[in-house]
Amino acid sequence: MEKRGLISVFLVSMAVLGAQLGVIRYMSVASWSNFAGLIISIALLGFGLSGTILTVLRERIERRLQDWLFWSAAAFIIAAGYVLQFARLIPFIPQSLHQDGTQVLYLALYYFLFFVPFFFGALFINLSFLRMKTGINRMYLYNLMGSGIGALVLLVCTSVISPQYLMIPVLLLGSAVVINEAIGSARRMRLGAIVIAVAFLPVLLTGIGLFSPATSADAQQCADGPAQGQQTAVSEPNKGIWAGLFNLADINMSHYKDISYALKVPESRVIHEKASSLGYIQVIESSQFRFAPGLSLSYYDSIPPVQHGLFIDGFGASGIARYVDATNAGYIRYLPFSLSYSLKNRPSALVIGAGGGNPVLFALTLGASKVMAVEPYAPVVDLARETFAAWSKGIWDDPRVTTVISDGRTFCKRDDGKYDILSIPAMVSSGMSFSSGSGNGENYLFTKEAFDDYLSRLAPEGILDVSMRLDSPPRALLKLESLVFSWAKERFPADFAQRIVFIRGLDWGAFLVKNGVFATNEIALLKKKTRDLSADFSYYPGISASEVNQYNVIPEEVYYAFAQAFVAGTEQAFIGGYAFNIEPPTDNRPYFSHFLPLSTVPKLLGLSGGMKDVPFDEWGYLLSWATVLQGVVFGLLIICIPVFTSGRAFLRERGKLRVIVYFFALGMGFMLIEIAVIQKLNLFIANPLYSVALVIGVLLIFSGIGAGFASRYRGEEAKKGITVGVSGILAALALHAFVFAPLMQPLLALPELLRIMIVILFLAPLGFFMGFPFPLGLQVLSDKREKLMPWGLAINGSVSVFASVLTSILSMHFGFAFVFFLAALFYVAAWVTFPARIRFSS
Amino acid sequence: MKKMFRVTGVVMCLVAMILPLTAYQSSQAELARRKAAVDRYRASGVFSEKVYQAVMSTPREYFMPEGQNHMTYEEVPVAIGWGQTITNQWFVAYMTHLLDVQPTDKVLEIGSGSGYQAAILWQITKKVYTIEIVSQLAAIAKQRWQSLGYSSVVGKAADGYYGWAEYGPFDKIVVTCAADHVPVYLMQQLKPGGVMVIPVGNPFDRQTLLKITKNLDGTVRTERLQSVKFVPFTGKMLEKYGK
Repeated sequence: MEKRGLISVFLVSMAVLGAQLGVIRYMSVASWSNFAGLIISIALLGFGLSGTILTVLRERIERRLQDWLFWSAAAFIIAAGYVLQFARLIPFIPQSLHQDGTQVLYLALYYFLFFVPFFFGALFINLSFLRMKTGINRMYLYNLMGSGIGALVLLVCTSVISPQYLMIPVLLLGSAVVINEAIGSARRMRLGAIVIAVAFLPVLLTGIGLFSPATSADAQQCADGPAQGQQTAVSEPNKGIWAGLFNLADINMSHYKDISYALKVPESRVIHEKASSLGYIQVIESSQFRFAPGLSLSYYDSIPPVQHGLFIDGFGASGIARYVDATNAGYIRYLPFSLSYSLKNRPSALVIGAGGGNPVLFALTLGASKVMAVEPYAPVVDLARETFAAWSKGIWDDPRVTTVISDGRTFCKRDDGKYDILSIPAMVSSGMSFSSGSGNGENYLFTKEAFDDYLSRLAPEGILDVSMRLDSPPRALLKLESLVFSWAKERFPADFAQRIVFIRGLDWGAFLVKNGVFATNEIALLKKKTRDLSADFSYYPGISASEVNQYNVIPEEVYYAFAQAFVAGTEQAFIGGYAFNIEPPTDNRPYFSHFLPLSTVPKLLGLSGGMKDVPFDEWGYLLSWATVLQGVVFGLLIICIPVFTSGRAFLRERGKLRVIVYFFALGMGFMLIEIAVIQKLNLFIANPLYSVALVIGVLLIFSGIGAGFASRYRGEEAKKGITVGVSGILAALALHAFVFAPLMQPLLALPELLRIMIVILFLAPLGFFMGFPFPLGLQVLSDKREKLMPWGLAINGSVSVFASVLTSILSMHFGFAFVFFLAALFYVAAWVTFPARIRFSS
Repeated sequence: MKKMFRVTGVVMCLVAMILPLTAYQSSQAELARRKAAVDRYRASGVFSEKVYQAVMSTPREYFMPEGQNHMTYEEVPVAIGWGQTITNQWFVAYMTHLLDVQPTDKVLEIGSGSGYQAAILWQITKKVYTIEIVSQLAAIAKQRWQSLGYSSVVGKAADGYYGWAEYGPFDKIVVTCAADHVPVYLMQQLKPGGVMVIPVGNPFDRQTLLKITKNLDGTVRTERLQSVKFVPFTGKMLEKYGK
């Protein structure tokens, strides 16, 4: 019985984590990841609510515990088997949320839909704790081991299985649980078989090809590429409700994503699609897809050549470069990329974010003597260099080109070469160059410390060239200006103003930062080049106000004003008075794309103008707040329900406040550490997937081992156990703050495998001690006050609804050091309020 | 055969004589509504006199879809079918004002839609060329111009992305649908010294209205004017040019 329970809880923990990943991946591809976060958080409410139901109905449930376990497992797999298909039927358009009331209804439908599988999964796990009252530590060990191993296995799955099929491994795990719980009862076995059959029906029907999109079987061939014959799943609309429910193959991507927009062009189609660790990669062929970011309007010759469009999770169109000879490459001299090349003759070039090869093609055409092409994501380079070899031939094979798969920061630490030009063409390689994060996430390529790394790779008189899209209202480009100037001012206080040139085109801005001061003849060359591009200077050493805003007239030349503020030493007043957050990012707060100040949060509640005033690109931040707010509201409800429904017996229980604080503090402490470590490791491991898998996997597995170890602290020993646990956590955090954190930058130069080992060495003791407090608290309640035990589960579960998102917000505003400090405080609070200290009435 | 030609000629002459007499005439009430709207614009003092005159002389109600007459002078775009809209009168006047059309100018319009913008342009210059991708709308607009006597407006149903090289280069180009980049073809067909007004940005969200001047030395001056929302360019423009 006990063995069966442990196996089930292990498998369900894996399945629930897999379902979370499955839903997030699917929603990120089909819709927006920001909304996926919002919805998943409400789904996690299932953990809280199931704990509450157990608190209220405990006696009734215990009488038929096995039936409850069986049916919650059964409900979980049926819900997991259909959740994505139902989601496709909801025509939710996030952009219309503030103007179309029905969108709120659709969002609510999403909430309900995603809540169901997680509720039943969580109910099963919480019921398991009820089943093993005396072996809570072991149960917790299996729970965490399941989640940890599940995270590792399923994260690997996300990089090989297309998002629409990610629920299949979840269904397999769930089915094993249903069978496990049915053993010993012929009736349950029969019912279990039916449940599994119903859950797998869409898989079966899709598997036999009942719903294959018309375009898939045709095995469309790419003229110059390989015979991929991939399904054009995204472009196929639902064919009625039945096909919608039973057809797994169709992603039904939002019509408002970049890829949907590109597919509306006549004769365009998906010719290649592949799941990868980077995201869902799709390549589009179109007779007219051209990629020339920032091409000057002064260019009047033949239009740039057709390329293949490259999309990741349906976003960020960039091109898979097609080789062009010099006669067709005239347009490249009219791109902002060519600015730095006008100053150098046959320079050696380092490109950070080579993407689909366009920056490499540009550098070669502009006369680079050698090109070091650095790209963090192997799938993108493989695609460009191998899958579409015939198309890109001549770029990657050029003897001048060396390709390195590495994050930009890591490369700068490991390489010892010096380059005349170092380009970070954020607008050319699109999402790719933001290697260590995107959206509101961490971006370690645009921090002050990153610029130190770039400087270390520049030859004397070398030029760092960073270009970016101009945005309106000005935010990103202004933040880049803030970063470039404040970094240069700190590093070269005496002559920073002589080292920077800032040129602005119709829709782009480019910073040239020199490892030396710009000479008069260089400024003259740049003036000619800038005029040829019909671009303007926003800053160069010696610029006058009458020279700005000549060719690309904007109502207010804030870029020039900001540069002048740096020269005059009044930049802090400018930054403080600006409507958006344009403070320069650092490795402690690496949030380049976070622009909204705290004062915009009331807009969420319809105050001071409401969401319609906020650019859609910036909604992610406000949605994070929405997630926290809804989490707090629902969390309070979950905590209060037993108080109002369980009558006087519950109200008479002593120590309720301590129980609340204890489990709340544990939930917060665990999440703060887990999320902040993932965010920090995005730099050290330089692959978001690896860092998530490593942290969740190692932290949870070692927490499980810690929980198992802590089972020796029984009865009166429990107080000693919590002291050991919390002391261990504080010591591990101190180790992080004073040893690991300062060593992170220099250790970046180590090979990846060694860096992973170091991370495991650091995380293992932390995870081990973090595993102590939760089962110790539950065991004390289970031994002394059974009624409060499920309530503890509910409180802890409800924290997970918002804690991860709150961590991101805290990191953005206050930095990682603060988050770790806060986590330490929560663990101290847990130590103080440990339930064994409650004087329980008899 | 000769006789047939002669008869046809006579008939055509008669039609040409009768047409102006039967051409659409605005009612006094319509004229009063239009005058009220134009007086409002005049009070703001933004536009030149020739723009006011052009707006006053063009029967906007004739370009409105059936049953939408009450919306003629409302400052919102009105749907005209096939996913297209007729831009509000103020904005059409504003675009015309930005172009600073001269009587001798050759003007290209991309996105004829209802035909109203071309009609306004025709009031100032008789050399108006316009392209509409939706063939049904192109046919309806042509019919309207003919019945109003604006027969020198030259229109065709085609993808405006490629411009109209046959009649280029143009002194002025006005694009009345949203694009995410400025097509090279249109820049090629713009005369040195010419002006183009085009909304550029995400075609499914808001765009920035740009005034582009091609300088005599080949350089280009752009002015970002204001945030606008147009219906998307539906032809080749939907192909990315480096977003």
